[in-house]
Order: sequence, then structure tokens, then C-alpha cells
Amino acid sequence: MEKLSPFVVGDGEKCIGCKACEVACHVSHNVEGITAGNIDTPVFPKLFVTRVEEVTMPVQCHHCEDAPCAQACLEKAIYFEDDKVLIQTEKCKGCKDCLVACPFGAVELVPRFVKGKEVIQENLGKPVLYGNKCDLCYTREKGPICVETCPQQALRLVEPHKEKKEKNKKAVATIIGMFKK
Amino acid sequence: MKKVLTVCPYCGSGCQLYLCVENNRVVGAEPANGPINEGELCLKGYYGWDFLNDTKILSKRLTKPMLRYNRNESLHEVEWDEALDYVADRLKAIKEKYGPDAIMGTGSARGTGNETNYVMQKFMRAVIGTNNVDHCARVCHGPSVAGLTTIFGSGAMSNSIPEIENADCLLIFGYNAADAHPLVAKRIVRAKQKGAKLIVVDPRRTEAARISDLWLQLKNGSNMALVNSFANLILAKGWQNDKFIANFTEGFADYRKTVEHYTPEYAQSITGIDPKLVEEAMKIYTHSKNSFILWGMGVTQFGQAVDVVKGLGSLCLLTGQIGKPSSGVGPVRGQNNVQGACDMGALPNVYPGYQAVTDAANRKKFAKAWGVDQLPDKVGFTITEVPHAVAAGKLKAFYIIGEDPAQSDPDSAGLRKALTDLEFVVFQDIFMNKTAHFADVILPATSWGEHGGVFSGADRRFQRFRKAVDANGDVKDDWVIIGELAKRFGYELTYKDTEEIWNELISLCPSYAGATYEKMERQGSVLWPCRTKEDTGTDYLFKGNVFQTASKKGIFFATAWRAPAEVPDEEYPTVLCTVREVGHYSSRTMTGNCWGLSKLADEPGYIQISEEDAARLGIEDEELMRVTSRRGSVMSRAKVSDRVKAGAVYMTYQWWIGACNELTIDNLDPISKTPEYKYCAVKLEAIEDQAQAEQQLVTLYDNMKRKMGAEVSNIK
Repeated sequence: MEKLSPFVVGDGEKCIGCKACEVACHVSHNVEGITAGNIDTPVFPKLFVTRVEEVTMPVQCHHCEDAPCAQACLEKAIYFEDDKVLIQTEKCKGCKDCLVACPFGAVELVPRFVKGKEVIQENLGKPVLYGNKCDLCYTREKGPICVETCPQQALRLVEPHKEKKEKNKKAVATIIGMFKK
Repeated sequence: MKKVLTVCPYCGSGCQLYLCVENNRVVGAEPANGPINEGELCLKGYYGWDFLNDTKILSKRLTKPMLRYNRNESLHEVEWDEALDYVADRLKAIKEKYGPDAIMGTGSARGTGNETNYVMQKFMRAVIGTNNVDHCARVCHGPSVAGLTTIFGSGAMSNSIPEIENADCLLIFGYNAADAHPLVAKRIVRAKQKGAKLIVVDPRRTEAARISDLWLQLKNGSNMALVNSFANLILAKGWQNDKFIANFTEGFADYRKTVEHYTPEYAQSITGIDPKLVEEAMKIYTHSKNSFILWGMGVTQFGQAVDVVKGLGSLCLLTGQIGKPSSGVGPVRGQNNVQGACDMGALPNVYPGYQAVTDAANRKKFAKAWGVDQLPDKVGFTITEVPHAVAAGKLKAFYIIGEDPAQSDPDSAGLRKALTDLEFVVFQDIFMNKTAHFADVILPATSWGEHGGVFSGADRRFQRFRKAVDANGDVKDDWVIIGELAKRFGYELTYKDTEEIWNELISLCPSYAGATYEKMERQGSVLWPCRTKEDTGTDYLFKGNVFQTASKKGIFFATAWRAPAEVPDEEYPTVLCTVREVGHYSSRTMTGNCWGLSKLADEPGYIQISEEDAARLGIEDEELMRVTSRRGSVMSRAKVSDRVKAGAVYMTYQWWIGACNELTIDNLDPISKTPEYKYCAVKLEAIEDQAQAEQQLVTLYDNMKRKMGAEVSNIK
């Protein structure tokens, strides 16, 4: 069986909407040398703390197995690398098809900044935009920073295969109990 | 890289963290295993330190004393001697001409620490000769201190923050921990996971309301009626604790008589709460083993606030839900050291350790210790009385430390007039802010991170905070500045270090006597009362149901509900209530100068508005809109939300452009003098030309930033 992609998911029972994950995400994805102490661009998180009437939790990319965002991308800027869906941002033309395709609203178009300056498309007088979404902090040794930062432990990395096997084991225990009765 | 253990400078939870330092520059923050935060931090703890590096995002650090000899000039930089000589000369002249009570000073509930507050109130009382010293607890939990002192004899949280998670019932009243104290919110979530029942009283569907078992969405401004109906229902059902009432309380008969009128059915006409919900809520509260009431500004920022605090405390007396672990009252303090500034007597009615200035024995004790013949016996002005006292010609000089009343106090226009009319204003702080522009003299101080001392967390928790870096610029520690000023009055107020100050003050306060630096170091923290060398501190108060009132009993109190001062009418049909936002702290001078936090939420800030109201007014989510009251008019950005009810809107107070305090009313609680931030009447309007409004916003904001010495960039 194909290995299913992992993804980060929030727990609406624990999340209090403090957005520590959003800032952490931005810090983790800035170019080398950028720390929380010298961010020189607006904060562009790759996960979005969302409040509806009954629930508060961050929403982010599920790294879908059929990646509708990648399928929609005419430039082929969105692709699978191992088990992650990534965006090659230089290729992005800002067409927004991925936004429309994504069922979670997990992709956002953000302006490109170089050394603290917004990059402008000269003949249009408009900023250069590119698609931005969760990449599971794949360059980071300790994995997704949001999971590590959340003070409420409301985020976790779901590894579908592991999850399934553990549930199988739990189920066995329960079923055995059923027969013992 | 060096790591320095310290205490977070933001909310009153008291989380411990490490500041990571390289070459005398803070480069990061990491959670420490403190008793409150247990290795976690919220976003302000993680990303709220870079204001120390003078980022100039919002305003610049003050790095040199400044003054002007007349108000038509702009402030110019001077040497310390010139600034301090001038302050001393002017204060002496004003004291000579009008008497000491014409001078008002503030302590600070923020990064400066307990030692500065002690030294400041000593300066005002022993050197100037007035009890006119107060601080921003007045606009915050002042009613909790006043109310709880009357009925229990102590004005602080009766139980510690970690105890919250072991309660069987949490009654959360007008308190949004998720935005105000994220690490207290964690304890609430944990309590729920451990099986506690959550009852939330709030007009908004807060995070706590969302996970609650019962949510009482009361009408804004009806607190007293609801609390009275709680008591009425308990008595009607016979759920009161008769034994507790008989043995440990006073005033029950009068209390019973007052609440008799407030049947849940009658109260519903005021609160809008279904009597069945009142019954269910009180069934849980009275029948749970350990019930703990938590409240915040939703109780205290009303014209009737002290009464409601007493009403909530009386529920504890009625049911015996106090004097045991995880059961009692939790007015969770807002700022990192607002508990401490109160503990240190930066209040017009008490010396450090809550010892009344009106008591001759206390005056004698402190006069002797401070080496003066006598101390003033009259209770001083509160900060919220300043505009009125200035208008009446009673106050002439104001010495402000670490506060920004022009941003934080109600009815900004009235406050600005007062600051203009004062003869002399001294401003001592770390950043330029709105208040600084009214100053005659600016004294630049070291910041949190650049000095050490003791903070008091919300749960009476003394904790050491430490210096991580040397300050840049020609700045001094607050207590050193005050000491150098005192010297110019011929009074010796100099200390070798903060520990010497601390040792002096604990020797004068029996309830802190055993809380030495060494003990804080050893235990991590010490919760007062801590009376002796052997005493390790006190997690929960009133053990054995012994209260700290004169009679050692709890004193019942109830009174009739009073409507807020300014109710909606045809012209101003909507209620404005001011609330908090998790990413910014206080008037934003610190968080607004941190990269991550400032970029996460910026001007003009949001106004939370119901879907119905927005639709009726033709306002779309994220659009700019106008909010107007009888006192002012500002621009804000609509957050159309299904978590608020039609008829009321909610704004946060840290914005310059979307400044809700231009709109609020200074109707004060008659006892605590706390303003009614939670209720005034406004009208809402859509803005037709959004593009023009957005442009105006940028222009206004850039101009303000330039005025504050910020570096205005091209980033929108």
C-alpha cells in the first residue's frame, strides 16, 4: 500500500485561539538569519486560526493524496515530494486556481518580500504574489514548529498509517473484552 | 549563548521563561518549567521580547532625559542633573504654593517591579507628603480589591492558579481567559478534561463559553441582577450551607432580605436569562465538591462593580465554597505586576501590605521606619479622579511612571484636557507614547530585561525576575531615579540593590515577612501570606474558614441592581463594550514594537459586530467602519462574528486610530472609582468610500508613528 501523507491537525476542544502557532510558523519559514526578533515583513502563517460559532482551531493543508491544488496548477508549481505537497513558489503565477481547488482554504496568496522589501511587478505596479501553504516544516529537524509551540498541546502531526495501526490494536483489546463477557 | 531565567512581562499569570542572550542582545525566548506555565508559553511569551532591541516599529525607546521650560517649545535632550534639578525645583515650588496634595504620582503595574513601587509610594508619602499615589489597578481589578477586602478582609485571589484544574465546578463570570491569560485558559481546559462542570456567564461566546456545560448569555450591564437571582434561587431551593452561615459569617438576615426581590423570573426581565438556566447553574455550583469562581473585567469595569464583586464573594459564603483547595474566588489580575503594585501600596489608601493609611498605629510605624515626623492621614486621589481634581483646581502636578493614561483611560478628550491644564507633568517610561507628548520632563528608565526584582503574579505569587542585558542609552533604573530625586529634597532614599529595598519592605509587612529573595530562589516562587522564616507560603486563603476581617468572619452583602450610566437611545442605539486581544498587551508600547506581534494585528484594530447588525448597516467583514459616541468618533475594522449578539459591539483599547477610549465614558464606580469601560452608547456607520478610508488610515498611522520616533517603512 502507498504510504499516506502525514498532516497537522488541530483539536477544537483544546485550542484557545492564541495564534502562537501562526507566529511560530512564520518565524520557522523565513529565510536564513530571520528570527522572531527581526521579521521585516508582514506575518504570513501557513496555518490559519479560525473561529466559528462553536469551534476555534487552526486550519492547514492536509497534504491530500489526490492534491486538488496540484492538479489544478497549470504551471505545475505544486508537486509531491515524497509524502509532502509542496509549492515551487518561483513558478507560481498567482492564478488562484489552487485556492479554488483546495477544500480547506489552506492555500493563501501572499506578496513576495526580498530583504524586507515587497517585490513589485514593474509594468503592473502591483506586488508579486505566490501561493503559500503548510510544508510540514520539512527542512526542520524537529518537525512542524506549530505542534511544538502550542501551549495547549492542541496540535498534532497525524501519521495515518501509525494512527490506523494503533487504532487496530485498541480495537483488538476492546473486541477481546467483548468475548470475555 | 547565555540563558537567563526570568518572568514574562505580559499578563498576570506569571509564566517563567528564559531569555536567550548573545553579545548583550536578546535573540530569543524559551519556556521554563515555572509553576504556572510548566514548560509552555503563549505567543506573547515566545515572541514578545524584541521591543528590547529598539525596533522602532511603533515608537522609539527613550534613551536620554528630555525637558522643555515652556509648553510652546518641543522637548529637547538634557543631562540627568538638569532634568532632575528641574523636576525637584518645580515640585518643591508647587508643594510650597498649593500644598503636598496638589501633587499626584503613579506606581506602575508593568515591568518595573515591586521594588520601584515601594520606593515610589515611599517618595510620595514621606518626601512629598501626600497619599496621592495610585496606578492602573484602578481601571482594572480595583473593585475586586475593594469588594473582597470588605467581605473577606483580603482582596486577592483566594486560591492559586494551578488549583483551577482540580475544581469540580468553575463559574467563569465576565472573564475571557483565552485572550487575557492563555496559560490560565489552559488550566480551564484541563479542568474540563478532568471532568469539571463549566458555567460561563458572558454576553459573548468566548472560548470558555464554547466548551462550557452551561452558557448564560446575559444582557450587557445586568450583572448585579443575575448574581442576586443566583442567591435568591439557592435560598428558595434550600441549597445554602446553614452551618457555614451560622459559624463563619455575618449579615445574613439583611442579605436574605435584599435578594428576596430577585427571583429568577423577575431577574429575567433585566438579564434575559431563562430561570431554568439559573437553577441548573446553581445546582451545579452548590452541589459540586469544590466550586471556584473566576472573574475578569466583565465584572469590574462597570459603574456597579464593587457591589457585584461582593455579591460573588457572598455566593461563596452562602454555600461554603471557600477556604479549601480549588474553591473560592479568582479575580485574575491583568498586568504582569498589577498584583504587586497593589501589594506594595501604590494605592491612595494603604501602605505596603494593605495597611490602612487612616490607622494611626500604621502611620506611626511607617513614619518611624521612614524617618519622618509624620505621614499624611487623608486618603489620596485615585488616577481616575485626576481629570476632575485638575478641573477643580486641586491637582497641579502629575508624576507618571510606566503608564499611558492618554491611551488607557476613558474619555480620552477629557484626559488630554487634564494633562494640558496641569502645571507640571513628569513622565518616566521606556517608550514614547501618547502621554509623553504632554510632559514637561521625560525621564528614561531601564526596561524589563535590563533590570531585576520581584513581580507578584495574579495568585499572590512572588517571583524573581532577572536582568538579561545591559541597557543602551543614558537610562537608569526607576528606583534609582526616584532616589536621586529624593536626594534633592534632602531625603536619603538610596539603596545598594533591589534586595536591600525588598528586605526593608518585608520587615514592615507582616504578611510578606518570610518571603526573602533566598526563599523565592529556592522554592521558585512564594505565595503570600508568608509570615516567618519557616513559612513556605500560602496556596489558598481562609483555611478553617477564618477570614481576615476585624471579626474574622465573612460579611454578606447584597444590593439592588443599578443600570449603566449611558443606555442606548435612538441616536446612539448600540452598546460598546471594550475587551482584550491575545496578541497585544496593555497600550501596546511593548507588543507593538515586537515584529511578530505587531504584524499579526495592527491598526485600526477590529470591532466585533453581529451578523444581524452588520447586514442591517450594510457593513461587510473586514471593511472599515465608523463608531461614534457623545465623546468622540473613530474608525475601526469590522469583524463580523456569530459569537456576539445584535445590539452590542466590542473593541480593544490598544489602537491609536481605532481608539475606543475616545468613545468610552468616565462613569465611575462610587467606591473603587473604576470606569464603566464595558458600557456606553454608540452609533455605527458604514463607510462608503473604502479606498479613501484605507488611504486615510495609512496616512494617520504613519503620522502618528513619526511623532513617536518610529521608522516608517513601506510595509502596509
